[in-house]
This record gives sequence, C-alpha cells and structure tokens, in this order.
Amino acid sequence: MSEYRIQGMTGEWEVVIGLEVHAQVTSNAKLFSGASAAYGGEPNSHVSLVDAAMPGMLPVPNRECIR
Amino acid sequence: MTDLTKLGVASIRSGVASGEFTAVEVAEAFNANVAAAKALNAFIVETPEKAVEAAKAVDADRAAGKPLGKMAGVPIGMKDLFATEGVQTTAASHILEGFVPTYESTVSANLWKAGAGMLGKLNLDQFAMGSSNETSYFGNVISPWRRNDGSNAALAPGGSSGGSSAAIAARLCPAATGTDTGGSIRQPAAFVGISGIKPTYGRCSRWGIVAFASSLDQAGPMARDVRDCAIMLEAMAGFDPKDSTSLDLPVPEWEAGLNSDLRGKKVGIPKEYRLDGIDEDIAKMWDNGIAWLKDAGAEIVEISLPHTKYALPAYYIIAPAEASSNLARYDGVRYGLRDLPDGAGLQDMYAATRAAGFGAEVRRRIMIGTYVLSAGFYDAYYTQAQKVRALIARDFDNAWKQCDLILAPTAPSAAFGLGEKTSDPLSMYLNDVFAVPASLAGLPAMSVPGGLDKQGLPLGLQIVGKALDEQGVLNAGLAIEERAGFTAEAEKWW
Repeated sequence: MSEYRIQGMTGEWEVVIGLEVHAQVTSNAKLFSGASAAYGGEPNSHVSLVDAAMPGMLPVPNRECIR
Repeated sequence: MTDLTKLGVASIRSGVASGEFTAVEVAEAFNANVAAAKALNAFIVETPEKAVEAAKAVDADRAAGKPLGKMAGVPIGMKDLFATEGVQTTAASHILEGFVPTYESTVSANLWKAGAGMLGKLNLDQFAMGSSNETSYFGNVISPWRRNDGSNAALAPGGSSGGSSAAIAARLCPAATGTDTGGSIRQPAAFVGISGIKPTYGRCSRWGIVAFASSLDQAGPMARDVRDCAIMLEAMAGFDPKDSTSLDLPVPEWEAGLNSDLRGKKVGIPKEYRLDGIDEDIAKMWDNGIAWLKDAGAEIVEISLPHTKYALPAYYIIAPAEASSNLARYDGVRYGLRDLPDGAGLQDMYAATRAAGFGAEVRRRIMIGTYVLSAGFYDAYYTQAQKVRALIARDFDNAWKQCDLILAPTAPSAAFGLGEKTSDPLSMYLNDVFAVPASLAGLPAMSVPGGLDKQGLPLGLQIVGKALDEQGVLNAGLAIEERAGFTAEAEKWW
C-alpha cells in the first residue's frame, strides 16, 4: 500500500482520500431491492416490499452493481 | 386413546407417519387446549383453521404415499414477530395492530413446507423488548407455573418469547418459534422448564422477522426436549439469499447426530459467572450440571471470560442503537397505526403516531438508541460498546483454546412475579446477564431444565458452543436432560 505523508506544524500527517460517488445505477434492478430501476414507470409500480420498509424486510445489495 | 397434547414433536411425527393417529386429530386436540387457556393470554391471534388445514394436507399426503416432511403433522405456535401472510402480525405493539402482511417470513415458510401447521400467533414483549412479557400491548402472558407457597401469585413466563414458553409448558402446543436477541429464547425456556436453542447468528434467515437489533436477532426453536429442538431447528434453518447475513452452508442433520456420550469433550466453567450473592439454588443446580456432564464423560475445566461484566452495558447500548434505527419506519405513513390530530402537519403526525403506538419500554430504548448514536456521544457510547463487543468475542475465542463447550446458569433467578421488576428497568435488564455474552459473540446457546428451586419453580442450565457447533450444544443438552430427570409440570389452574 502506498503512503502519502506530509509534515505539518504539529507533526506528520498521513493523507487518506475517500471518494463518495453519486451515480445512477445501470442495472435493471435497484441497488438494494429487486424493484425495477427503469425511469418513467407508473406511480408505485417500482416499489418492492423493502423499498416501502415493510416490517421484517431486509435490503440485499444488487450483485450486478458490485460486480 | 392417549392424550395427544402430552406428546412432543418426535412422537407426533412418528405417530402420524405410522397411522397411530391422524394429523387432524392432533391439531384438534391442541386447538381445544388453546381455546381453553385464555387465562394465560399466550396467544394474540388463534388460527385453529390453519392448524387443521395443514394437518389435512399431511394426512392426504400420507394416504397418497407421498414422503412426509420433518415436522409433518406437528401443530406449532408462531411468535408474533414472524410475518405470516394473511394473518395479523403485530410484534405485540399497538402501532402494528391490524397489520396483515402480504408475505410470509422465510422461517415460518420453511416450517409449513416441512409439514407443520399454525395454531396461532404467540404473545411476546413489545418488539421483543423485555424479559417478562409485561411490555406487550395485548396484556402480559401469565406463566402456567406457580410457587409452592400457596400464594397463587401470577408469575412471569420470561421474555421476550413468553407466549411461546407459556404455551409449551401448558401444553397448548408441542413446540413454538422463538427469537433471541439477548436471551429471549433461553430465559423464557428456563422460567417454565422447557428447552430452547438460539443457533449461531446467520443459521436462520431474518427475512420477514420484525427487526429489533439486526446484528443480534436470531430465530430458534422452543420445545419440550432436546430432540424436538433439533428436529425443529433443522426445519427452520438454511441459507436465504434474501438475508445478506444468512450463512450459505448446508443444514446439518442435528437430530441424526444426537449423542450424549461426551467422552473427549472439555466443558469450561467461567469463573466470572460466579457472581457475588449468586442465588443458592442456582449455584446448586450449576454444580449438579457439572456433575452430570462429568458423568457423561466430559472433562471439566475452569475458564475465564474477563470482559463478562461489560457485556450487559455494551448490549444495552448496541441493541437500542440498532432498534432506534430499525423502528424509524413506524411513522404512520404506509401501514399500521396513524394518529393525525386535527390540523396537524407531517412531523406532528409522526410524533403523535409514535407516542400513541409505542409502549413505554420501546420509547425508552428508542431514546437511548438515538442518544448513543447522536453526533456528540457516538464515540463515547456506540464506538466504545462495539470495542467491548469485540473483546467479549475474543474472550470466547480464548476460551475455546481450553474447552469445547461452556456450562452456566441461564438466568440468575427463577421466574419472578409479574410487577416485581417493572418499576426498575435495570433489575429487569440484569435478568439477561448470563445470556447476553453469547448473543454479542453470535454463538449457539441452549437452555435445558436443570431442576426446581425451593419454591418449586424450574431453573435452566445454559450450554454455549463454538460458532456452528449446534451439534455439540445439543449433545451436551441431551446429556443433561438424560441425567436431570426433569419431569415436573405446572399444575393446571387455568
């Protein structure tokens, strides 16, 4: 692992950069549910049980998006 | 004819398979006991027609010579934390009163597939938060047990799976589902003299179980004996792609693997569990348990779990933190209770709905959880509790270098009276002191009856095993069961 360190006034600092990426998924289903991610559907037609936070529902990450 | 409600899972299954009696006869016998036991308040909803319907399907399969499932012909009680399609699912809360899911939890679906039928939805502590069933919106369950002092004081059936424990002890069902977040299967099992096992975290799918604390919640069976628990756990467990913490492993044949010969096994006795002022009867039962396991061939070793005293405080930070997040969904918008005062806006509706819909203990835990997760206190509480959790898991890892299993009491006392601990939440929380460490470490743990105390009330012995070693836990439970000779039953008063 490469390290990027700089000397500061109070000591040495290690620079760690994180990226938060906002992007629209290109998968067919949403990132955390099996509901369709297609744009322009009828109202409430792309809502799964987990999207509606029904009791006992669990989000599962979309395998396609992680691959 | 024998009273069919005296039979357990294994006997019912074999009697149905051999044609000694029909599944419908079994279902009807238990339906009658359920209907006659309103005084216990064990069920929130009774579903006698579901039990008969499942039984008819099993009888038809048998007549047609089709293979029968692991739980064929066995009617069971379903803790009302499991979503059941078409049947009200409330988590014993007002906020979900009248909520009827359009889906079936994975665990309950597995049980129906194995040939079980549903007698009804069992009462519990609201959102599984409690150790006595007194937080249920639908009134507390009353234990079928009474002290032998003639006082007839109403006792707690334990919690949160108190409807499950009371129903089995009173022979309203031969077995029931439970869920265990910090002892909610083991402590109620101990309080009424039955068996119950919380498997390794991830063995049973959490999909469709109303969430309390997701990193701790785990379903398991409660039944009259160890064999019945093994059979039912086989039917409940299994990989589920809909739960991302579900273990992708084959389900072992726990029933076939039962063997109470413990030669070659080492059993650890954690010295930190010998609390100052430990109840005399509990200490005596623990010593008996040690002698029984020795007799079964095990070697007994003293072990140390040095961080035990931090387990309960860490649990009461982690569990409420997760609960406050999980319960944020109950806002009155999509389902369940909605309280919309005249002229109120959206925020007012949320507040009014939650104030009316959540009981005092649930509100307390949401507030604790929100507090420990708030920006200023996150590191001081939540991060610290997570570190403690890692240390407790490491305690067990170190213990496994010296032993294969751990033996301890399940709870620090026998069942207490209803109302005795409600005014002091801390004394209620202390009831889980022996149960919580295994929950934080995600380990399989079981309670089996260990004897009666001076008041004639059941006490439980707890066996904790290595991750995935349910077999070792069940085998030690069987060794205790064979030697304890526990046949005591609550005298019928209801």
